[in-house]
Amino acid sequence: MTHPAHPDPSGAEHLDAQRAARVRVRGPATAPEEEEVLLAPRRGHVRRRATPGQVRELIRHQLRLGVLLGLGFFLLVVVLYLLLSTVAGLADVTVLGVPLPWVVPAVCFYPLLILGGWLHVRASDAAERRLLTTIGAAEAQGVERRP
Amino acid sequence: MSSPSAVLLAVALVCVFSVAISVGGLRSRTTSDFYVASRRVPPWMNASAIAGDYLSAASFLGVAGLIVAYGAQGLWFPVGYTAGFFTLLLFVAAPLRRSGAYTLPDFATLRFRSAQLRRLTALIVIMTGWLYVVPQLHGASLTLSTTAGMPGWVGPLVVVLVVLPTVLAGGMRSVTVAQAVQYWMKLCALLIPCVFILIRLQRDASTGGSPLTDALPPLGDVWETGLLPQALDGGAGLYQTASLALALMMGTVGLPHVLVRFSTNPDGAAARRTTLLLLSLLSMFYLLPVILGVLARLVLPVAEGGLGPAADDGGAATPAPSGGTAADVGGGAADAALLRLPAAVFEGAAGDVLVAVVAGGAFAAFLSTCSGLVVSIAGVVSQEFFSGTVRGFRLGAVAAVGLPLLVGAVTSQVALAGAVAMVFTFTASALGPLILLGIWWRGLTEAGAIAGMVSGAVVSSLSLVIGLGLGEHTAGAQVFLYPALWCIPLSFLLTVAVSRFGRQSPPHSAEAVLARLHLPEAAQALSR
Repeated sequence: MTHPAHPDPSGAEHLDAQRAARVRVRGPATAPEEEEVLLAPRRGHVRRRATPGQVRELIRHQLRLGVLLGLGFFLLVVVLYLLLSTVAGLADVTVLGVPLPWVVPAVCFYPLLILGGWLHVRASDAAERRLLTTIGAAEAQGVERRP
Repeated sequence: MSSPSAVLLAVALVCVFSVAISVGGLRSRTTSDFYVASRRVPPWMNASAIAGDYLSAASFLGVAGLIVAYGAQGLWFPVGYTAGFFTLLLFVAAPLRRSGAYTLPDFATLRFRSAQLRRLTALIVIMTGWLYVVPQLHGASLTLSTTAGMPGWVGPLVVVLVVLPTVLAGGMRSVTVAQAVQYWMKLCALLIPCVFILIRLQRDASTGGSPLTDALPPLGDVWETGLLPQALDGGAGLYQTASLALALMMGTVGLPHVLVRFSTNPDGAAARRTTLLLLSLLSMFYLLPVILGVLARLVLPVAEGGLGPAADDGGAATPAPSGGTAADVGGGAADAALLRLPAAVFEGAAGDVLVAVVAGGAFAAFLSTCSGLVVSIAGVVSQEFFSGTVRGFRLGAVAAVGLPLLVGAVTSQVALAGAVAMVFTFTASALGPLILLGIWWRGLTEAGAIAGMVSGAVVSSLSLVIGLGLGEHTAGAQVFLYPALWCIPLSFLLTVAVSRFGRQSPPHSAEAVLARLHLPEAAQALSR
């Protein structure tokens, strides 16, 4: 109820007291992070985190992509082996004088692996970029990538 | 018989080069340099280094050996070796890099915070490394005894004496550069003989007068006949190919010396790019042993697995062991095909030089794979038993080669590529569940991971021992010699079953850890 009485209610001395106790304001001791400088909250660039749901969705997407490509390749190997070893006619087909059972395992799988790998890198990077855009971190990503 | 001096000179050059790089200007400056080359290695350099690391004796000598021994069947091995990195790219590369784990035990700790699981993982990793070093030492022994007539123990000793100082002095940083260069050395060591032999055969065929082409069998026979024409047809062949493909596709994921390299990438996206580059480098490389393997079938004398004219030397041929191991067609003899090929085509100095080039490249293969393995084993030993000190790393390195040297001295010659395929089966069964399910499934429990690891390790090694005991030609031995097709699913199933129905629940941190593994770095900076 009773406020602690000011030692001296007169205005001038009050101000002097405050001046004596004034603390000089300084900037933060550490330099601001690039994100802090570049993110403008008024334009909607706010730090946000990915929600657990978004993380799950990303994981599920990447897993589906991997299983699709990996299982696909494994089955392709098994099926082609089965074809080459059972269908008798294929062994007589030659490419530049080399029979098919030699040509296929010797050269055909490697371009497929590189192609599959390229597709995967593209698709998984795109999925990550989509997530970053959704949570508004795409600009921050640009900053981070700069060495 | 080629002259030993050229071979010894080539091998010595390769060894001196390896030591010089580590002792020279590339010394590690900090502990971070020592372990992960300060995570500043650009993708192309990293990809070359991983390829240099990965292309071991099995790839350099073994693939051509298998083609000589099995014909078209042998062509499926290099496809599997390459496809292993496809799996790595799809499921492991980026998450593993984002985990920040340097070794597999680190990864296990990150996921479960369990000292027990950590110890077990470390044990399996060390065992894998040991198993993998042995074929490298065998390859070294084979190379020097075939080309230079040295006693069998010289090759392994040379490898150990070169690898140890390199690793002790330089750690990861020097090893990265040395291995990147060694990839290109290996490529050239196969490319040069390949080009020269092709040119020579082409010229002989067009002029037609050479005694060599007179004695050559018609090209058609190369495709048909093999040392084991009847061994692998029908269901057994299909089973073996499927099993092999699965083992090689899943096993790469657990190779410690390959995984450790991914921690040198700057970030997850770079890890993916590195792996994609790596797929191209490996594809480029494997064309060469394939071509040379076919040429070897054409040119080499029948006794050594080829169809060519009768041998005029063959004095140093390793006698075929009569008890069955995978590819027991005189495992050594077939693996040495590549080393004999140049001398069979060229006479005199040209042959000597080309043999020396191949032998030098083979030594680059043994040295780089060994140093990669030693670095990774030493890293694990150091972190497990010496709290990560550089001194522990050095002690670990000594331990990493000491035991295989002893084991290698007593075990007989097993075909290189076959032996390495067995190691892949072991890692895929023992470490596959922990790595793959650990990265992708939040429901994995510690008990589940342990169950999968123990069952995978015990069952796969027991099966291989039974298979080796039975011998390849016994009916049903294929099932034990190539257990991957049932063994890997078994260990995954056990892991899932114990995680699902066991009493333990997944760790509370699972959600957060998985987010860290899969979120791109930019999003992680935000949710810090």
